[in-house]
Amino acid sequence: MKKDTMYGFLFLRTSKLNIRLAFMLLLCVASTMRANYEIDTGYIPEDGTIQDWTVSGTVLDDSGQPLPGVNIVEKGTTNGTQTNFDGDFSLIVSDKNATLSISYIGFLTQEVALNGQTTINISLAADAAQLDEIVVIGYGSSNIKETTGAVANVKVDDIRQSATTSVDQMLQGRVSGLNLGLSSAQPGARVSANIRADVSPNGSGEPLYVIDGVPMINDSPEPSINDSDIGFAGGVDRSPLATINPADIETVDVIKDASTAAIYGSAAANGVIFITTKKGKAGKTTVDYRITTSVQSPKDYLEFLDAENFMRQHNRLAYDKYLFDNKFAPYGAQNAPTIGFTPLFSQNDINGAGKGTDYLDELIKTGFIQEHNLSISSGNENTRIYSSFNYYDNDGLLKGSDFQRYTARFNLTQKLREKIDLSVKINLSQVNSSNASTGENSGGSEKFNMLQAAYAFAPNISPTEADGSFTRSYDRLITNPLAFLEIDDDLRTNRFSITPKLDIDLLDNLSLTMVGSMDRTTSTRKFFMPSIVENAQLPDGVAQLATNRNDAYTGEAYFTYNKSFENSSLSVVLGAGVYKTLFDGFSLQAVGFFTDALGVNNVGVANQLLRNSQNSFKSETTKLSQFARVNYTINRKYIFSGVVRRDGASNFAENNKWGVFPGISAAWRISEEDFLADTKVSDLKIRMGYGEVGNVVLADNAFQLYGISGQFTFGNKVQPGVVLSQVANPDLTWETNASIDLGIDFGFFDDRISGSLELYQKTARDLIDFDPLPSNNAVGRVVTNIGSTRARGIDIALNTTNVLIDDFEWSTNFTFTTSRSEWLKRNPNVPLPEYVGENDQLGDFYGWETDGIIKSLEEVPNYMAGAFPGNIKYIDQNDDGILDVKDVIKLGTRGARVNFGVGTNFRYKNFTLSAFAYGNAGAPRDFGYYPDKQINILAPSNTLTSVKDVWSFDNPNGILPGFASNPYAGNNPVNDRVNTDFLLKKISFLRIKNINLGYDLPIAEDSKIPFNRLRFFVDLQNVALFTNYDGFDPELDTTNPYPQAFTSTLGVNIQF
Amino acid sequence: MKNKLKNKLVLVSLCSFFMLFISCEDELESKVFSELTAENFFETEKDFNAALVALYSSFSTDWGTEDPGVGIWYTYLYNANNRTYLMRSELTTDELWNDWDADLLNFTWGPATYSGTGASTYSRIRYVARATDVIDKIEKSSVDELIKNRYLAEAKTLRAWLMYILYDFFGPLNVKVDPKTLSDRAITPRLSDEDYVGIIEQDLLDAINTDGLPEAYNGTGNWGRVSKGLSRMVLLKLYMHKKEWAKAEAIGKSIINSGLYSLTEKYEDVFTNSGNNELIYSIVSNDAVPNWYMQHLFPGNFAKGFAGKTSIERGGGWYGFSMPWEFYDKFESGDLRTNTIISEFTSGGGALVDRDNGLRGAIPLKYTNIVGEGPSYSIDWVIYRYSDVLLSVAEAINEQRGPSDAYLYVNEVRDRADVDAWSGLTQDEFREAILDERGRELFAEGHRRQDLIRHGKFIEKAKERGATSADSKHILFPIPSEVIIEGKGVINQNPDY
Repeated sequence: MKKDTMYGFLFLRTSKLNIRLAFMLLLCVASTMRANYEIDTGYIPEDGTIQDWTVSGTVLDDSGQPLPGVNIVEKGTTNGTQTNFDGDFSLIVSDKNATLSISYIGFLTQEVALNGQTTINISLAADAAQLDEIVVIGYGSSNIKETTGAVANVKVDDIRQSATTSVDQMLQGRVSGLNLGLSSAQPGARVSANIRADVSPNGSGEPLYVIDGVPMINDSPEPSINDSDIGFAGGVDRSPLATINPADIETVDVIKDASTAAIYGSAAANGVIFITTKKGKAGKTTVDYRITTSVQSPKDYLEFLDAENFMRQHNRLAYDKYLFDNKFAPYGAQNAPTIGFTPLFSQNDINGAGKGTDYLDELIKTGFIQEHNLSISSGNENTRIYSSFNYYDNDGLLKGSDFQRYTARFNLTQKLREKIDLSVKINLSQVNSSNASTGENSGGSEKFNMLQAAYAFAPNISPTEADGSFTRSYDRLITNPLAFLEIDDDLRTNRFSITPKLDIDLLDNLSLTMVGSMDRTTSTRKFFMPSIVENAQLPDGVAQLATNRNDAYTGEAYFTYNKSFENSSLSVVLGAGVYKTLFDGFSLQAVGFFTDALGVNNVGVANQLLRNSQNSFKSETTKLSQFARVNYTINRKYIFSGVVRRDGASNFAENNKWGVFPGISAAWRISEEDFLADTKVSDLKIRMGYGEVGNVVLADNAFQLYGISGQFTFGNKVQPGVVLSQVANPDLTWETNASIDLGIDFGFFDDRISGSLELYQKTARDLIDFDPLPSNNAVGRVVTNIGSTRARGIDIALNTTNVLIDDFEWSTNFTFTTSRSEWLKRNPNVPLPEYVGENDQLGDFYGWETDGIIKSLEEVPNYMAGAFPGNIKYIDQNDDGILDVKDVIKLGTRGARVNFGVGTNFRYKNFTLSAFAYGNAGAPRDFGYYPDKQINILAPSNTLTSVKDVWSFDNPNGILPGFASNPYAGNNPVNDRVNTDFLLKKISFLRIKNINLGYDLPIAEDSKIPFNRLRFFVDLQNVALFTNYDGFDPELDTTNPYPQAFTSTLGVNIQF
Repeated sequence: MKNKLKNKLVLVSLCSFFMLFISCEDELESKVFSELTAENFFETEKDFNAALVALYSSFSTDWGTEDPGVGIWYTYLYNANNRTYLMRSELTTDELWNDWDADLLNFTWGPATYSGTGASTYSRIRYVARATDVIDKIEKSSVDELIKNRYLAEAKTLRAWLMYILYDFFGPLNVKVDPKTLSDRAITPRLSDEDYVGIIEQDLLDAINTDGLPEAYNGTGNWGRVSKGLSRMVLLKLYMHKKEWAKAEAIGKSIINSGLYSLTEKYEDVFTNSGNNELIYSIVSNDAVPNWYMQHLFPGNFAKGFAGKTSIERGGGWYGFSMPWEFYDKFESGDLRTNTIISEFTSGGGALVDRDNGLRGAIPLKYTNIVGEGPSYSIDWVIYRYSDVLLSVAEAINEQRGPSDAYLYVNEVRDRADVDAWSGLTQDEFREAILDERGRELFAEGHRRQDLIRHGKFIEKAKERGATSADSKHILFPIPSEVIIEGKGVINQNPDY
């Protein structure tokens, strides 16, 4: 830049200026600068001679649409013009045999010799290389063939998947190295994303999402239910991306390696996902309208006993308990007397019971989704607009749950002056949802959520009494499952974001970009449980109100300098940014309503004042950054890239306020070498890179804090307590992930076969961990940086065009990912149990090996003296006659060994058919759902049909543990949910996620139909699942999950 | 012209960079909004009160809370969860039974059994350090002298009480009572029994000798705060524990002679009337900090039953704890204290359920003033009361010089229960009898374990109940294994674990 401008640049640092003021100044300077441009924009012909030779014509694209704004230049001169809105142009040229150079961004430049013609019509061909292969890499973009990093690009329109609330749900299996975990099948539920292997045991594995250049807050502001009294949290964990209409998204770019991601520094440890929304296209206004209707039918859920079998199983197990309590055979030597046990249910009761009420059936229904999507694209050479409206309404599978979304988007690109472009992107969305309680809960049967109540409620008791009130089960603490439908639990989430961006061409090679953004999400939850629910703990009703707000403000400015030399080109980006995030919120609970009539709308009447509660919180983070990237390309063959970012943040510890994150990478495009010039190799590139990125976890733990903890009552006054809750560590710093990436991109036969193979190694150092303080200190831990982990993996992507003839196209794509993460260095202050190896894998878990069920007293092993038939038999690995820590073995490694995705697309004439499947292999899981053994003899609850597999006196081949509690279970030194290999196996699955069949109605040019395009389609989601897992769903790892649905969609797409 | 333009452009560029590359350290200062920091805490009298409240909260009847200093959820000491000090003091004895924890039932616990959230009682060792911090900060503060002395006496009594509870379960520990060592990272060994007990004794004596600490708070708005009565009572418990009979008798008699306390007319009134004069200390419960004990008792299908003449109507509970019929049968017929126990009930279906028909044990309700379905109640939990003082003094006298002048104290208690007065017992007979008398008088109040241990019957009784693994080592609970591992040989485990 110095060379170009003849002026030096000075870099200054000062510590006392207010950054906000600085930004205002900057914007002022920028706006005054526009005035300076007028001087340079006039065009003065180089010579005065004007000849009278006019040529005119029209420029069209390959589909026959007129192209406005196309540059037409008489070759060898600066004489030129642009096409108008209808693609027409007229130009006076100096020679009737002149050659015109016709160029337009995104299209191949064409040269036309006039040869005396006065009228020419030109059809421009799209530049495939430019249209298809531009990837976003942060503060700019790059041709994918010339990138040096591991970047994958997904065009959202190519994923033909309907009835999806957020774009992340569409990406599973689409990008090698991007693994998504589905936590719930609830409408709008979050998927947890993970790019390449996880190396941070305490940190988040979530990538940074950047929407239209602006980093997004990844935390959903949706308040959860305060479960301390109610018991269930309501099971909502929505994706913040659910507030963005997937149809508005043009591309998703995934940056997997640190050498490229380092430009996002301390936020980029887990990679970066760029989401780019659509822009208006110059040319004729197109209106796109899509309507879809979907039906969701429930997949098989867990099976529970009907009334008759519930009573039979209860009597059977109650008798088993009687035998056990009195130590009769098989639990003791003596046989039970013939009388002495009276079953709760008589034979008459059982015979007359029938099926009873299937409470789960009462709560699950067919779901419906209706979606309307309207988008308008319009523009000319100066102004381009994309605007869309979306309405998405999902009446959920579980009664009481629904999800409605309204989004509106307005994207404007405006040429303000010759060299100044403004773009403004505005997104408005509102999500209204009602929630059915699923998932985990905190407590006993009085705290069951809706699904748990449906599992446990006795099926032989009908739902309502004669007077219409809800019945109670034998366990009177369980809320009637149907009473849950009387609960109102409504969430409203509003999001508003505006992203103005100014591009200024300062010099031929130098431009300045300024981006600002405000992104605010506010979410309000209103929960009311009326007294007719007859909840055992809150019989007089309870209301909860909560509002949370997430605010993000972003200001960035960067210079881009591009310069081409004879055989090389240089590109430099240099910029800075300021980021502020703010979270705040409040919540309240009100207990005791004399009437149900007011609901949440007047919580002031709640009369159990001491059970009412209020909470509020606020936190704020400021980050300042500077970043730079240099790209240098020689002969389009040898490409070098370096990035660096310097981040300073308020939530970093006192002695480590600033960090520097570098990345360097290089690529060699072998296919550009002469020796591959005339071969079938259309693309071949080797690339490698090294980068360091940060993971800011537990950063707020650097200060000494006194926390509000515990309360106590004197007289009738409840008072809050304060304890020392955290000791300071001013030296705390972020985790650093250093990664080495090696990749090969290839294409053969004109890229009919293309793909990439990537190898990587990620090393995390300065892992954030809790360093234990002596147990007799007031605070038992301090957050420090200790330890190191490493991951290695392989990502493969392969795309093939199998058939490409006039009427028929068939292509497939395939992704494959595998990785392994292991410990390099542990925290020496945390003693390792003896069964854990210093360098074990990150997800390793341990426990006792088992050998089925003990079937008789004789089978009780010596080392399990006192155990009973029906207990699990553990294996004494070292044969020392004692079951202890020495018998613990490694049981497996959490997570799948291999993830893969397969997609295929067919086009025959006007028909398209696409199908997509994904899966994983080798994830160890146990059976997961054990039936309740109904030990509560006085108050039995319903349970899974698998209770028939429970070992008992009359079921000596039962595979599930019997009634007798195992005296050795508590001695297992491993304190995890899974600490034995009982019913543990390696799970693999293949899910056919999506099949989409479409038909484009042929519309002749002269047709009377006023549409350009009319497309009908059928879309099936969650079509089939192939797995060796016996539980409910191998992907869902939550208890009591929201049921999965098979969704079939009919849709019409109209374009005019 | 072009040069001029370039001039301007470069100026603009320079400006931009100047603006963007500044490092505003002010902006990067950390901000804490929802918690307190060293800069804004421990300044006023109200701050010290809040720090004291946190020490008090250890004794709450509510469930528990996550200790923010370690990120583990622990139960409070007097909650009805079977992990608490209160319930383990009962569930390991003949007075109470549940099947939620086979290790407690069978005496099969070991160092690894109660770790994490299961180590709730042990976790109070952190609160001893916090109490030391509070004591140090109060001593150094400039708050009003009267308040200062009272708060110091409260903090010392709470520290001593926490230390006694730890001592009861684990023996002497390596508690931090020196403020200079509070943030040391060095592992320190367990104190000697003599030193440890000496610290408890001194803290309590300091409190008792503090002029500003009131004798009692019964019936006042400060009910629930530490008074001299509580300081003396904890000291009595310590002396009984150590079998220092003469000291026990003296401190017990000082409570009796204070004239502030007396037995209520009816036994059940002790538990239903908040702040009555039989109470030396109870934990105040209300809707915000409720009492969950009763909910643990009722069978799931409970609808109606009688405690004495008091009709109890409510829905089912969690059916966690039962009084074994063998213990119930220790009550002499006509003992009015059984008016607080339910021995049969009517189920939701209308059937009568009793000991011959599925009820596995009596329901030791104790608190007969429950109203409504629960699950929690605003009923104060009785910790220490006058009849315990009378029985302790009687026991201490008998141990020193036989039952002669002990009858006076024990018969005052028996008289209220409307059972015959004792006389003519040998020292051994008296000793045997007073153990059971304490069981009948103080059941469900958390004293049984220590009473059995003091009388050397803790293990014997466990074996009688079928806990074949019971061994003398079980008199103390083990130090949690993670503490031993952390100690790297400096912290000794209790014998035989």
